[in-house]
Amino acid sequence: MSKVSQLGEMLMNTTIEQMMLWYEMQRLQERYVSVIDANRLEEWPDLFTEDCVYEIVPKENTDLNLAIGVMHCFGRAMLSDRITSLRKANVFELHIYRHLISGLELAPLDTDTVEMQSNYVVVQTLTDGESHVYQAGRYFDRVIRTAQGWRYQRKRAVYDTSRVRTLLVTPV
Amino acid sequence: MQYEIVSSDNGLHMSLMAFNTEDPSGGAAYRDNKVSSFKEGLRLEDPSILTNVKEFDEVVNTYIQPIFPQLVVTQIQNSLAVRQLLPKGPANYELVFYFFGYADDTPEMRMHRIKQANLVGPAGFVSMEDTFATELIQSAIAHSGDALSMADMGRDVSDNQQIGSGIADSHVRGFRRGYQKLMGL
Repeated sequence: MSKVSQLGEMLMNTTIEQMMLWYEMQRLQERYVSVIDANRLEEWPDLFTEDCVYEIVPKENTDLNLAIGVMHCFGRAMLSDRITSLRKANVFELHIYRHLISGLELAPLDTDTVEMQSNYVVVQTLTDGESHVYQAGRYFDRVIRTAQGWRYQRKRAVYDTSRVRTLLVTPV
Repeated sequence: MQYEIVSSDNGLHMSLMAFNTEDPSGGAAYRDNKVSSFKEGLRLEDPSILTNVKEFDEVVNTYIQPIFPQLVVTQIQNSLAVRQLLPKGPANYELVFYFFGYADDTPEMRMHRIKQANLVGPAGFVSMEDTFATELIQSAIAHSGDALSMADMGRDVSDNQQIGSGIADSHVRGFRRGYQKLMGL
């Protein structure tokens, strides 16, 4: 095999690996939003590591370097508590989410750690049948490879929308 | 829970403090009074969100100070916040939350305040229903301009008897009297 075709093969393998990784991350993101949108929220914490950080923060605060947001979960137990609270304690109007995600960008740190960003839009439909954009924003994620597959170690939803309509009970 | 509630003379401003008291009964007062939101056996997997780190002379669990017409100063455990109510017309309002800590907070205290911010705000375990409650009332009254409905809540109980209760109506009535006078109604 000539040197030129060896190099070509190497480049091709690299590209295929990158495509595979992109595919796996895209699959993870799609699984993430389908768990929420299909109201299988009990499965939501399973997509995170035990020591995860999940946050929903307004872009307004992030831009000013202010830490506070509307939801901060430190560890998977806090994610489970959110779902228990939603199912058994909170009072809210029934609603449906549809997540639209786009523009997935990857920055692998090593073979088992990937940082990534993507856009999201959540369309909410309330009981009157009206659908409106509930939140538009960007996910900032860190994903690690575990024995169970890729899991979120960090997921930070930074939303552009200035107001939260009435309340936020279902995670985005 | 033990309460200390004071209203201003005109009824428009209020201060509510709730102190933690030992309750070996597992919330029997809630159960026996049939508080509809009480759920037996419901537990948090991570109860650290409820830790109240002592930072003032008195260990107050909840401090709420509504100042008429649009300001509310709150302390829920170690979560400190100011709420600003902005009317946006007859059918809408905005509620702005400003959370704060102190410049000399330790990093642990800062993290703890951020964790306890989960109790407050539009996704707050304690307060997320607040706006929904007003929305329910609004949707009920908006289309019934000529109708009248009355909830005769605790009217037969004297104000003195209600002083130590966190769910008393006397302060709400005091506010309404003050509002009526202010508006010349």
